[in-house]
Amino acid sequence: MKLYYSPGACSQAVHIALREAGLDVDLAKVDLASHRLDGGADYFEINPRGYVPVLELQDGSRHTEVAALLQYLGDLAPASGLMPKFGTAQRFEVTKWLTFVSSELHKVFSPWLWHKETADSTRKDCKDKLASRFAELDRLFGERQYLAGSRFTAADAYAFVIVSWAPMLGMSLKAYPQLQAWLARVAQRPAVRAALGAEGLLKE
Amino acid sequence: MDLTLISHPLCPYVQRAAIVLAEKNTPFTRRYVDLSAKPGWFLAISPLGKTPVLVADGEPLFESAVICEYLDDTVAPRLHPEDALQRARDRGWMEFGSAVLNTIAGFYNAPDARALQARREELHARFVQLEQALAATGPYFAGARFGMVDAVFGPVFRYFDVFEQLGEANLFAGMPRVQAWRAALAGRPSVQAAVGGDDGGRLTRFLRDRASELSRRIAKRFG
Repeated sequence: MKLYYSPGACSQAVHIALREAGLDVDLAKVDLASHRLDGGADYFEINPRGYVPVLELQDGSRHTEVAALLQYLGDLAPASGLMPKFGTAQRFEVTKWLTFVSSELHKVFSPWLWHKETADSTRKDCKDKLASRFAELDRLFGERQYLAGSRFTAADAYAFVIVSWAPMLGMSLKAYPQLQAWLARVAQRPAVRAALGAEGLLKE
Repeated sequence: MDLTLISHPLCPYVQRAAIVLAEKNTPFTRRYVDLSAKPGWFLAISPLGKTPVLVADGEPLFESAVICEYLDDTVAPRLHPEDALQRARDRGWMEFGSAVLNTIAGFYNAPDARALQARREELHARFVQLEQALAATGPYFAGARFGMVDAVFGPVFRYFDVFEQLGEANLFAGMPRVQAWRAALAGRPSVQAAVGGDDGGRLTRFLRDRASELSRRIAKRFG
């Protein structure tokens, strides 16, 4: 399987899941400004929408959307625990959190907090909303180790990438010690370190 | 001596002076100035309207290189070498560091992809030169002792930390001495205190808000 990615972007969640699942990782870096691949090929040919991630399967088919890709990879590697079995309460819990990360976290950061044109009032609304979501997660991580319970799942991979954007933008997580502890827990996972290292983002 | 460093949170030239002060274990006060609305008192002591200004016992000094030299002349321990020729050479590399900072500004302000790539190549060439100039023994520019050139480059590498975090490719492949130097400076308490491991995301927001190719790249990657 081939993952089209950009360093640090949301594609990192899929990258982490590939490694957590123990699958072979064939990485293709995309320059999202020029929409070119490293070799110069036109990325719009790969994904007409122009964004990452794209996961290319063995049969050559290409697929997008982080939450969907994470579920697909989790189902390919049930032993990884990324996605619990169909029909279980645990499965429901993970899909709920995946959707929460997508709509309540990811799409509050993006596009709003990463664009220069965003009005200050919009920026403030986004930050206020994220602060209330972070407070909720902080309480949750006082009770459980990971988003969906005692095991790391696909939802944690996604949330890890998105929550990590907060300190980059100067949103301090000091008020959320349990959230910070979860972030540190996830950051120490070998698969996460391997993914960050391969994207050139590992310090030390 | 009563020392006040007139500062701006992002200014690498302020950071250079702050590193020198910290290396000399000299207490000082920072006073921040809004460079987008420069107050009259600031313009009165900074003829070019730039930070840093060091106010030493009420006497203002402008230009970071001059501030560093003054501190080295008046406060122990010396960061410059005793040998005049070596000292002159180090001053040359300090100037080189300022030129690198100018190219960094050219990089993050580059209006289009071609200009961004040109600045990247220019930066690459500068660090290849540094790779050749660095002491083989490390960890600092001239060897075991932390000196004035190190104070200049501490703030330089801070930019690359943030560029890389924002997904820009590492510039230092194949430059083992530069990489080791970068790591040594990042671990130096004076550099950490001046540059700040957590600068509150200020530099990221500053880069996001340029009307530049880099800011567009950031928006496309994360937004």
